[in-house]
Amino acid sequence: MDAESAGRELARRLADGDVDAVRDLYRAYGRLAFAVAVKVLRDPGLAEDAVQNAFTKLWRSAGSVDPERDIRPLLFTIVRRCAYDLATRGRRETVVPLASAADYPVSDDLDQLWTTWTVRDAIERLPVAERDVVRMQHLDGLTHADIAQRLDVAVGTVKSRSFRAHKRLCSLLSSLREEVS
Amino acid sequence: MDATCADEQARYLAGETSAGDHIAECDRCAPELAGLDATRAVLADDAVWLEPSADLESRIMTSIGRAPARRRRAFSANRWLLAAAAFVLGILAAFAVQQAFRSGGPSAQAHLALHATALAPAAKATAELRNMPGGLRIELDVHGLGHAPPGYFYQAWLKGPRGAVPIGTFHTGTQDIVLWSGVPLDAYPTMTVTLEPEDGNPASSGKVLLTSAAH
Repeated sequence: MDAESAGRELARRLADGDVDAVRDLYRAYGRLAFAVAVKVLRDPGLAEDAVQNAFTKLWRSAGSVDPERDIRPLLFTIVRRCAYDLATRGRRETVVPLASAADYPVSDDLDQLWTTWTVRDAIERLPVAERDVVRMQHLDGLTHADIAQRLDVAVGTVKSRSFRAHKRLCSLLSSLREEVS
Repeated sequence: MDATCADEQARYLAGETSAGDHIAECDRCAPELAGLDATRAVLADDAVWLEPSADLESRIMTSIGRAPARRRRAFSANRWLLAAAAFVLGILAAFAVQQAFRSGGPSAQAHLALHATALAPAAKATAELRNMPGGLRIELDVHGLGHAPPGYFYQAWLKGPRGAVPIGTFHTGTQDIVLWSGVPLDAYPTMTVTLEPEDGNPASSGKVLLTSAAH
């Protein structure tokens, strides 16, 4: 089943009131939602609260979920809102003054957060060995030689894994953007 | 995309080449440059690599399991009385509207007055509803509600025991806003206006500005 079909299937199960769909939804997209929340809040603890709030809100509104549409954009929107709600600390959604509604950022932040979601999705699909190399290159800033030493493998092995991983990422990100657009 | 371009994009994403080596100069690759740069920036951000706690899944499932029960336990005797009173008023209002429609025939009219909530205290509106062959035609006159903020719009709903049905959107409170409903007023007797973000999410934001429900 491709990713879009899987997203629609979860939407259908959620709309039918299947509580196990929430568990499966979390296992499929929980890390992606967490990445978006961390991007907004820069605090893993608060990000977990935002993710918990988002899945709870999604379950509470399950009756209005469109069973024919991929659930991913809706989940992304809900977790983004929950993260921003926590970021404003204590401001309850139902009493936000009208003039402040535009404080919810749009456009630029939306693009950045959606990129975070899709990149995390693509990373999750890499083999573990390739994912580790990518993380060490980009997050830790290590060279191929440093990575080879850390992993106790040949430099050529690191180069091969890096090349395959980045080629796979390019392909995945291109198809993910097309799927959900 | 040919193999050379795919390889060059992978190398650029990995930080092994610079834009001038191929990507920026190639007609096929140049459109991808901004996306590749954005991806490189995200790959360097720990937000995309952090893992949530192992117990987050169980906390979510526990929270969901608690949610319905918590709402039931929160109802005190006074709240039950208020809920019962609101229910009776809602029934009376629905009956009155239904009678107005029935006595007037296929093109009968009904009127609703919408009052402000705390989110838009200066706003008020009236709605004239008319049965037409295509559905319920609604003319809304809105006062005291300015242009929606950038990235937002106003949405009108008809609400009843079965849920809420969207009946149209607009961006400024004014007279002669024409909306249409495919559902009957007797089944959805309450009209509301909410403020919605332009995010593609069809669910209501919950930010109710105007409502015809009893105070």
